[in-house]
Amino acid sequence: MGVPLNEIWTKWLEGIEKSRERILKSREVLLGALDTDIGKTPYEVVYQEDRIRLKYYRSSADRQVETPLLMVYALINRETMLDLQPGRSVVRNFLNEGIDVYMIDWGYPTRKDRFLTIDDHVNGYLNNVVEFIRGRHGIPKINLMGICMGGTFAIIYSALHPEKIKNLVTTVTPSSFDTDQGLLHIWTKGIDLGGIIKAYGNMPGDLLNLGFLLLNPARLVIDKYIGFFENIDNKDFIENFVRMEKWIFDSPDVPGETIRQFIEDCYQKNLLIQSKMEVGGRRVELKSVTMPLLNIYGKYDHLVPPGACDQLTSKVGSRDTEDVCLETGHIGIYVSSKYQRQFTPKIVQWLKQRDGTSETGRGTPEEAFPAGETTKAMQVPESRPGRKTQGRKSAGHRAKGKTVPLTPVS
Amino acid sequence: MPPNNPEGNAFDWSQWIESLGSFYLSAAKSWQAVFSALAGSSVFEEYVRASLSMWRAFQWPSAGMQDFAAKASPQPSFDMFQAMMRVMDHGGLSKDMSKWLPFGGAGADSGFEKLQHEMLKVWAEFYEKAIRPSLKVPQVGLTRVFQEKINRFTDKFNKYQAAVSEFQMLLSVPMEKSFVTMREELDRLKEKDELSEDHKVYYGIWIKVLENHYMSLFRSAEYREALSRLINETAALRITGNEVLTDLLQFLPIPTNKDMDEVYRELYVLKKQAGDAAKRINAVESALAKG
Repeated sequence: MGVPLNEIWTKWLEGIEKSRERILKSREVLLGALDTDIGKTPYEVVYQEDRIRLKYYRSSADRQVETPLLMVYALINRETMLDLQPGRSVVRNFLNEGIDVYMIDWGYPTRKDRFLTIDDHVNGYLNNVVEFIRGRHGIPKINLMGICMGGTFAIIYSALHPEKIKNLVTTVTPSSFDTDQGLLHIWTKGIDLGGIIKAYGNMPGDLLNLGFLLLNPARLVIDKYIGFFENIDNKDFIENFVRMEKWIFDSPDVPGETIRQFIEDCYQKNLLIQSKMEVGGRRVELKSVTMPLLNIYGKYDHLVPPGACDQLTSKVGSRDTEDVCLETGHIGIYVSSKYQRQFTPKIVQWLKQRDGTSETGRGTPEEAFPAGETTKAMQVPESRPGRKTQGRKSAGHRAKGKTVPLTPVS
Repeated sequence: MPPNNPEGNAFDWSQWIESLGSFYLSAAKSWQAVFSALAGSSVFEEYVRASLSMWRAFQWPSAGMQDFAAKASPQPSFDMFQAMMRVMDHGGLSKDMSKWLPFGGAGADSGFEKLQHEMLKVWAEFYEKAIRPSLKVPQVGLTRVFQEKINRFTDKFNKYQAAVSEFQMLLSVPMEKSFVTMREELDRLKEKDELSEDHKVYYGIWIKVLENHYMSLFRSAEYREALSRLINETAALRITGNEVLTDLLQFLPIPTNKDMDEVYRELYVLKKQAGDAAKRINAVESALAKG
């Protein structure tokens, strides 16, 4: 070969020799007690329907935003990503900032869920959950935050039920699918999922995970684990690594009809951004999204690239919109230490500016309803006569459609 | 390996390997005629010729690199290490030979890569024209239906295997290319006298090169088609497999997926109807309560 490969090999072996101590120490780390639990922030399950659970995280800090926030995660992977560990928890950050948080746990679909459509998830489960929270707090509107595919659901829901959503926050949410920035957008163009759905019933989570690994095998299959072995004696690193592995490979199957519709209507036909998508027999008109909208996405997101996110604010009916592009990736937005200091404070401040006290109802659930009464929440009527409706634009908010780089909020 | 025994007491490995090699090469040549007729492949023949040449290079290196095939030696060697040393002494394998080796250094035009492609293509066409029709021969008799299902499953299994092989081959290409690129990069660094003592530097270069090769592959139409084929064949195999399993399960007192899917669909429809009915009742009750 004409190059001293032997020298490189020798150096590599020397490196191994030097790291013997590290390898020995790794025994202590791997065989010792490791704290690798995820989703440790205490919560209460306040609503349940089929496989769906609604988690309620109550803030003990001074209340900054009266309106509770409902977070809707994707059907792909699990919502535990938002509460990976105490130091890297979006949920905990919201609680510390004085916001009560509700989060949907979509559970693990089984074969019997294969016929569930986007309509069943949005107009069924999600609507029931929103109704429940409205009733529980005695409020006409709640704040809604969607993550990835959950953000797409949140957009659809806000377009179909704008009277129930006070503020909408979309994070790494695909809304415009006709882009070639991301491999998923390229691959899904020519894929016929009908056969897979017919064969498996649901889209197997492991198959999806395999697809995600193939997005960048050099980094996700090789480099990541090289990093693992290089830090094998570092307890903190190993704990964080294992937590992330637990989350990544905790992949529920996705209901067959839902993923089929999502791929066909969104990825292949790009109907949502054109306001041509139909859900439950109703057209999803983006102009109906009239509530304030905060749209956050990652500049280096390889799953949902900026091109899939940045058109939304110009298509909705709201005049109070804001795009925020963070210089990170799909997951980094939620778990990177650096962006933890920017992401949640930005949302909190944005919500705080739009949180009028006149329609926040009866405050906490305990104040709203005596113990035991919350189960009647679903009977709350959709509109409450006499309540003040929200204006379309608040003073001091940014003009529609502009994107600003985010600076840390002090 | 033990050295060759000129007295003939030990097994003559060298002659045995030579005979075996000749047998396979002549068999490969025979099959080449079949493959060529079916799929019009010329690469395979080229590969066979290079393999023969390469084998003889190791057997009779002293004869010179260009005319191994023309020479013969009464004392063929079988010691691979010695053979390699002799080949290297004569300047290594010729360009025609080395291009057929994995990581052979020819980059995107590597003969090995072309051969992999060609072999898959040849096999796919051979299967399509020579084997598949036999699985579609009409079945008769009592077990006709079952036999047809099993033939269908066999067909789908073969198609699935072909799709998996093609996909795996595509995935292996960036890895091979990365080694070739890496070798060129090392040559370049050596020329500039910029070689590093830290192996992590080389790892960093390699992983980046590999990542770039994968990104190029993943954006190609060839990969998209292979991925689509793999997904379709996986689904088809599973569906036909389920058909066979469903037939087998009919003999057991347990419900099949097909049975359960029918129940689930009915349950789904009933739940929706019940939900709609509940909403209407609530609306009526609310209206009545309001007076």
